[in-house]
Amino acid sequence: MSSSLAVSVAGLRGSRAAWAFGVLGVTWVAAVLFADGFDSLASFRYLVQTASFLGIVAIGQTLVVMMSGIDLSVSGVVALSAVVCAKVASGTGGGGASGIAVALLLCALVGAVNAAGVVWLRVPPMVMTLASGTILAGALLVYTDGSPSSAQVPLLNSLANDRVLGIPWAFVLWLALTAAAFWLLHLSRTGRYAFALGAGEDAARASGVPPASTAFIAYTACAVLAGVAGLVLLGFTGTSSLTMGNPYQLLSIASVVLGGTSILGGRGHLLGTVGGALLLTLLTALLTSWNLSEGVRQVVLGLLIIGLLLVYARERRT
Amino acid sequence: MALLSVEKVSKSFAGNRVLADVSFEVGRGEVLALVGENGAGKSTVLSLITGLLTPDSGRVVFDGAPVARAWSPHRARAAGIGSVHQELSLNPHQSVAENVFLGSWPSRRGLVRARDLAARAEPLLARVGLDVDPRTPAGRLPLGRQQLVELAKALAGDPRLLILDEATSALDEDQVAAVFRVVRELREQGGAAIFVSHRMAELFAISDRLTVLKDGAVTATRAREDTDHDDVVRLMVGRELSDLFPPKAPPPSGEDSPEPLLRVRGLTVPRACSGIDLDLVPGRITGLGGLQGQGQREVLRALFGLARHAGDLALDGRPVRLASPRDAIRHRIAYVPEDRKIEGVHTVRSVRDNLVLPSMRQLAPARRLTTVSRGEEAALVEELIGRLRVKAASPAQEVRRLSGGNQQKVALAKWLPTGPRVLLLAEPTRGIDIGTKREIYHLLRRLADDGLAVLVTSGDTMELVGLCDEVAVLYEGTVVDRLGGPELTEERLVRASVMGTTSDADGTGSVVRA
Amino acid sequence: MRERALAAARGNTDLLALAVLLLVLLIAYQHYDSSLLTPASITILSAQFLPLILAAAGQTTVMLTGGIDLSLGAVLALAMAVFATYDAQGAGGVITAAVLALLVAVGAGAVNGTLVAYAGLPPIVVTLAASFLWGGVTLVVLPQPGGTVPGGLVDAYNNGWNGVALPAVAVAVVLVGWKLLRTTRHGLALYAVGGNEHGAYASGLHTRGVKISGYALAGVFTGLAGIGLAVQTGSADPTIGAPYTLNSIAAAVLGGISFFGGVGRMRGTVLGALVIGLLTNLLLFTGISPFYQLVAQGVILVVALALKTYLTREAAV
Repeated sequence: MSSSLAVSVAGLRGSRAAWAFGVLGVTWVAAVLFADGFDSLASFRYLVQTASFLGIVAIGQTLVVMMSGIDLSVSGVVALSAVVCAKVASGTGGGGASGIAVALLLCALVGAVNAAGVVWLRVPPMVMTLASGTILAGALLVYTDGSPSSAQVPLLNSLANDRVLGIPWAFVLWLALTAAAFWLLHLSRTGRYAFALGAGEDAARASGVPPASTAFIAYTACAVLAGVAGLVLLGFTGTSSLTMGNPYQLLSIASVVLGGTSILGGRGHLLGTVGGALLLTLLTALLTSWNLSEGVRQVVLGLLIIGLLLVYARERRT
Repeated sequence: MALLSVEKVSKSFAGNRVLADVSFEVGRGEVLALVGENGAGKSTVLSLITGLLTPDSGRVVFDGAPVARAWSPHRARAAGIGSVHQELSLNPHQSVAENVFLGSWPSRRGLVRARDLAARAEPLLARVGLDVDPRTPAGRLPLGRQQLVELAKALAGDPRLLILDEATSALDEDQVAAVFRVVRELREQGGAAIFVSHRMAELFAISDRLTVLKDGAVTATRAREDTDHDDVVRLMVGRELSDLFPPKAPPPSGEDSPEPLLRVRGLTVPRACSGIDLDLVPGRITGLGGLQGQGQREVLRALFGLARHAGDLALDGRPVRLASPRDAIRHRIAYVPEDRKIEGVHTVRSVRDNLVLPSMRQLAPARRLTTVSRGEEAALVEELIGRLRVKAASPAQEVRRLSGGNQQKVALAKWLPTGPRVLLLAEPTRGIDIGTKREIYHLLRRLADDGLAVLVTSGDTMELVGLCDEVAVLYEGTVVDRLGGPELTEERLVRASVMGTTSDADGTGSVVRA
Repeated sequence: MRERALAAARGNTDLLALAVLLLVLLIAYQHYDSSLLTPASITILSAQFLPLILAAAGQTTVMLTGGIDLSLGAVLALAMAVFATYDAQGAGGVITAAVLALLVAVGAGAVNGTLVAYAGLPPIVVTLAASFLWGGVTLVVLPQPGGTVPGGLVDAYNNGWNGVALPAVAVAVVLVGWKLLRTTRHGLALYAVGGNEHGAYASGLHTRGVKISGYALAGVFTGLAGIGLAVQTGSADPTIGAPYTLNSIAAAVLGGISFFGGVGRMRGTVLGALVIGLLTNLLLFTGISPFYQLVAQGVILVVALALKTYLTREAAV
């Protein structure tokens, strides 16, 4: 197991995923040297903590993208889990365990529905997840009557804000989930199947790959991870909102692509996504620290993403 | 002066030299055959002429003028170079007429009129012997007819030089004759053609001279009269190629015929074939012959669970249902498809990943929580690469970097660890060089000797006759003849394929279908 | 003759199904609002639907080349912001503002197209990143909702100009223009590149130029949609674009445009956009909580697509 781990991590060398970490390192050093407020331990802690929210969504997105799918319902799922958990917790009181359980179960259900639509109804992943995201947004409006509740869930509060040995729990959780996803994608049979489906569905089917079960695992895992991110966000802010997931929709895909994974599927590395999420969070923080207006910040972020993609993420499929 | 001369061109891809100082000429009124194994550089040198690639050094001179640095398919076409490639360039969603004039649609006051387009396409389609409605979407035509549409498209540019790169690979004999007619007309009018084919007989039937490429360099150019098949093969592979086909299995001994492993009765695939009976016997190679597109492909796809079908299938005497590839694989049936880049291999994945994919259950068992065993994986890959002599830089090399022959070896090798009992192969050597062809023939025979039942479809008559123990000939979706032993000759196979008749002993035949 | 008609009907199954769906919606609508077929009602509805129809036309153009535009909503908002921010005085001013807005939208489309054609980045990735870029530019132009559109124009657009429904005329013009474009070399090239890009290149088409022009043409439609939305609402909102990205894809897909390029008709897209628009209004009428709108829209999209896939698969095998 340990040797196989070493082999898969070594696969990073010379790959596009390594680029993400290279750019991340350079940017970080530059930030510490030239920008204000990036040289303290506290700022580092805050960065990895906020990167965790995006990172958890993005590793789920990686699983789906690797098999040539895409999940545009993650923004809805993030909101779903936070809203449901807050409502259940404020209704029942207690530690919020029931709220968490209900929320994650619902997320898993959404993932399963996505997979069912893609596999059995043969709706293209982009449309299927787009539609389920739209349905979720509407359903949440109906469920909350437009005004979601806030709730203090002690377990989530400490998960989002407390530290262990000086490390934010949220970051630890992200790393643990990354390890699990790493096993799933790079060490297990399901991961091989996902890569194969991403590289070419016809050849994968003709080699005996089970498309249905692979899709169910990937989409369900993705939705559950987005749900976990929603719960941590709920703990972090203490409130839930219907739009709280919106930033994570496009940013999670951007993290995957900046991490060197092909949006067409079949090529990439999960750890690259971790680098991509950290890089995006760092860039956003940098732009914020310069007191730029929202508009200029977005322009610069857009240009930076395009520039980075041009440097190392071009497709050469022949 | 020659119409086209290629002067000392070289080309490298990522430091890998694929053409080294290649020179040849094509005169007006001449047909040049370009011959060589896969990877010898034929397609690359043709791409330099048609503007898909530019040479690193050397130059291409067309009609007395060196082609510009900014040579492009657009300029090549405008200058009078028409080309048909093995890889189709049709848009399946546009009509035949729109495809024929693709890129240079004739317009009146800026508008392209469908009726006008169809009327102009008709004579071109007639020239290549195609009788189709020009308004049909090109994607609805069978492969061979699409290739003829490509030819009509090349002719629409009124070319003086016609390049045919494996343009006949999917054509039946009538269609090949139509292509030859076009080439001869062009030659009589002072035009020229470059012809590439893996079928030796075609090369000798149409060309005036043959230029042989080997490893990116010209080894010889011969006039047709001064050479023969053996000579050309020797020049291509650099050695004598004897025993292309392995010896066949001994005919079934005694009265009792051997028990079939897979018994097929009344196999019917809607709109492709009906009432097919086949007995696949361990140790024997069975062929499916006939003109292109008579249902051969669908029979194989049905037996691998890829095409919906009706009929009775029995494996080892027990009825089986094959509704998906997973069903077929569970019954240890393996399939090497015709379009190997789509169904056979993952071109963007490594040799290793391709080779182990069907064996995932063994390599990642539930008792290891489905974690893949890297050690067993590496050992398996090494064994397969060695056993089939796959030429790859390393197991991590992407399959698209391999030659066609080695890709085919990967598509075949990946099944061996699953212990197949029935092996289905569609066009196992299409577009593959002769050296690798021989290796594959011998491998198939060894597998049969080990007790596999092998079923092969092929459009290459010589291949079926040389390789198979028995051949069932399909015509419009039904078996019209079965040839085995001494009856299995090219002549009888061709006759049954073309006439759709059983070749009786007296040779008159009975028409099965009009 | 009859065979030809049958064949034509077969080729247009999805269009027919969509038209029937639209008819059902219209009948239901008539039930709630008997003034549906009066000129005033048609004017208001067409004013309301125009932006989505045009946005979907833009998305269709890009999808026909085999691409997708996730920055469409951002570009729409940008055009809207430019149009409303330009201080328009009189007819000349309005025309200047419109031309400026269109130029910006076409420029944005051309940049997207250039990146797709020359950079070797998949369209989905390029336009995703570009959505940040154009969204940011919009916020720079117009940080807060605001800007003005001359009141006379707003009134003429929403309530008719001498009894003529201007938005309906605009849609008709776009459809006729597209029909003409389709029969030019350029239109055929668009379909050819979407259907088989490598083949089109090998046949001498300048595929990169065709793609760039496709994205730029989409910019024209998107820019017009933005202008229409500004005129409809009388001002601009920098964040209003987002739903148009997704809805334009939904309308195009409903209308039978393939994700893989080269397949589909503009009239299908227009029907798809009308279905989405009518459905939204219908739910308002029925008194069901408007919150259900999104649910219904998502369900219709999935059901329509699943049905279509199911039916065409049956026909193909």
